[in-house]
Amino acid sequence: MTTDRTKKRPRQPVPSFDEFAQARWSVLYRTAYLLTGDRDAGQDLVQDTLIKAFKRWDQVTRSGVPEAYVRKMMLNEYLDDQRRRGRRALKDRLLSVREEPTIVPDPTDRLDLWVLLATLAPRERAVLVLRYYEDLTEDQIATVLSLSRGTVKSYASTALRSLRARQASATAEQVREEPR
Amino acid sequence: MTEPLEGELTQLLQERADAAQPPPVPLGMLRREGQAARDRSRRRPVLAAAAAAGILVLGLTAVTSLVSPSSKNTPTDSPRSEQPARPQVPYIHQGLLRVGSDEIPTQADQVLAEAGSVLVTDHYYSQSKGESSRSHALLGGELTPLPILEDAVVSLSQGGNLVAALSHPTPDSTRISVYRFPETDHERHIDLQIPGSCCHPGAVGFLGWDGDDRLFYNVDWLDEPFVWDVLTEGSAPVPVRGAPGPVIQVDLAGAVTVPGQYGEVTERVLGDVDESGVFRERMTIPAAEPTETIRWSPTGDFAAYRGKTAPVIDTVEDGQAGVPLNLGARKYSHFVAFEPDGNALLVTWTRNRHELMRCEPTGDCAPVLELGGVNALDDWAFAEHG
Repeated sequence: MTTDRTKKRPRQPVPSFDEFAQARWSVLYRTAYLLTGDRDAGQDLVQDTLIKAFKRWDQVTRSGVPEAYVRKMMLNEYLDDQRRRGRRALKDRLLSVREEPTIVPDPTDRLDLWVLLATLAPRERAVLVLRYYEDLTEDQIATVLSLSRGTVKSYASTALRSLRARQASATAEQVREEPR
Repeated sequence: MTEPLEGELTQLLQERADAAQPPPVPLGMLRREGQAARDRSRRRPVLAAAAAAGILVLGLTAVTSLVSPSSKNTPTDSPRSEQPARPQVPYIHQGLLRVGSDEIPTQADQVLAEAGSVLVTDHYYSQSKGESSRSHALLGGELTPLPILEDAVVSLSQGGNLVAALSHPTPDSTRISVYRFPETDHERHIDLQIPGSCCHPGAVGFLGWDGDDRLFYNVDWLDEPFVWDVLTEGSAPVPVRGAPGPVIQVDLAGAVTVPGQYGEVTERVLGDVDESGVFRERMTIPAAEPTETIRWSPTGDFAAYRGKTAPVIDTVEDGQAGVPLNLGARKYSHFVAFEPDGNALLVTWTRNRHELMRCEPTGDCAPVLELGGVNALDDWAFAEHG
């Protein structure tokens, strides 16, 4: 839950599901796209989230902050899905010796931060999207992801360090390969 | 001051988000699917509660639709809201495996089917009779022999992609092998050390998968259930501690069915088994009346058992006694399987024919298939699940 029950909120008109979906679809879709890195996957993520939100719409509206509630649902859905994918990948490796697919990066992508973002762990990526796109504070991110503030800082710091290291590595490699 | 990378990141995310044109809101689909999810939830509070609590329930094997769910990636309204076609029950009759309209010759007499995977075997292991068993997978419309040892008892996972085989590669050993279905070139196996009962064919009396691809089995002589998370590299089976009895059946939602006095099934205990094998009970559901066998639907919503005068379907959530099935003049023969919506499939007989019947939780039944003469059942084998 993202609600702070210790503070009184001004009473907001309760939107219907249709009103909410119409109004927030674009915003949720864009966040979902940034989380998944893929437009189709992003659309799936929003759809799955809103279907679940419809199912418990009373609960969503009772929270008093439907957008924050649904955003949290979407992040949970995203992280759960990433866990399932990880498990499926593990299953693929079971019982057979398969050659791991070799990812050959496009040289033009080497410095592309978007590509490097895809290499982060799901929680790290979620923290960065919430921090640098949604502009949430560390406390707000901690609430949304049900983590401590310290853990959020740790994820953010690790993610940024990892991106810097990969950027530096890619740059060095590119310099080495460029003809003199 | 913003660090260069952080500034770059902010700009990148904003640009990407701006460039991502949202598709139209599929409002109709969202409402329909949401309503369907809500209805399912109301029908199945037991399952919903279990899922919400992250419960891994132990119990009966699942009935899984043989029809793939509609694609998640379809952006339009219609596909996700379509109802899946009723699953077809694969069965063997007079040397032919019948799956829908396809007929494939086979000598097997056991059918396992899950999520589109069909696996058939011939006899169960019987050391005393010296019979052997072989397993085949239905691949590309043909039955392909599996590299599973003869005399193996097999179990297909809930998702239909893992096969566990119980065999005795030598007279003094018991082996559980796990294969990925249908690519079965490689296996993981574990040789069990069961004091005093290594080569008894009933040393391991049960093999079953839960919805998370964990394998459960009982060592009969020790009357002790074990769980093996086979997907975790290097993992070993661990004893299930704190369970009220041996695991008789395992299902997607996971439920332990507990035998009572003289082997009668009196109740089912819902619970979860954590990674270290500790069972935590969540709920107990009594059978409406003690019975020798009871079958639970894949979601745990319904149970079917042989009542005093007629077979019974019990809708678990209503807390009421079960509903005797209205078979008219037909006699009950045996239960076949549950369909995902709670309908039960069972075989009945009258003076001169057997029929496959579909019975709804209300007790209403209708014939699905005529099976033939009085002795026809000797030649029949149905999919164990689904």
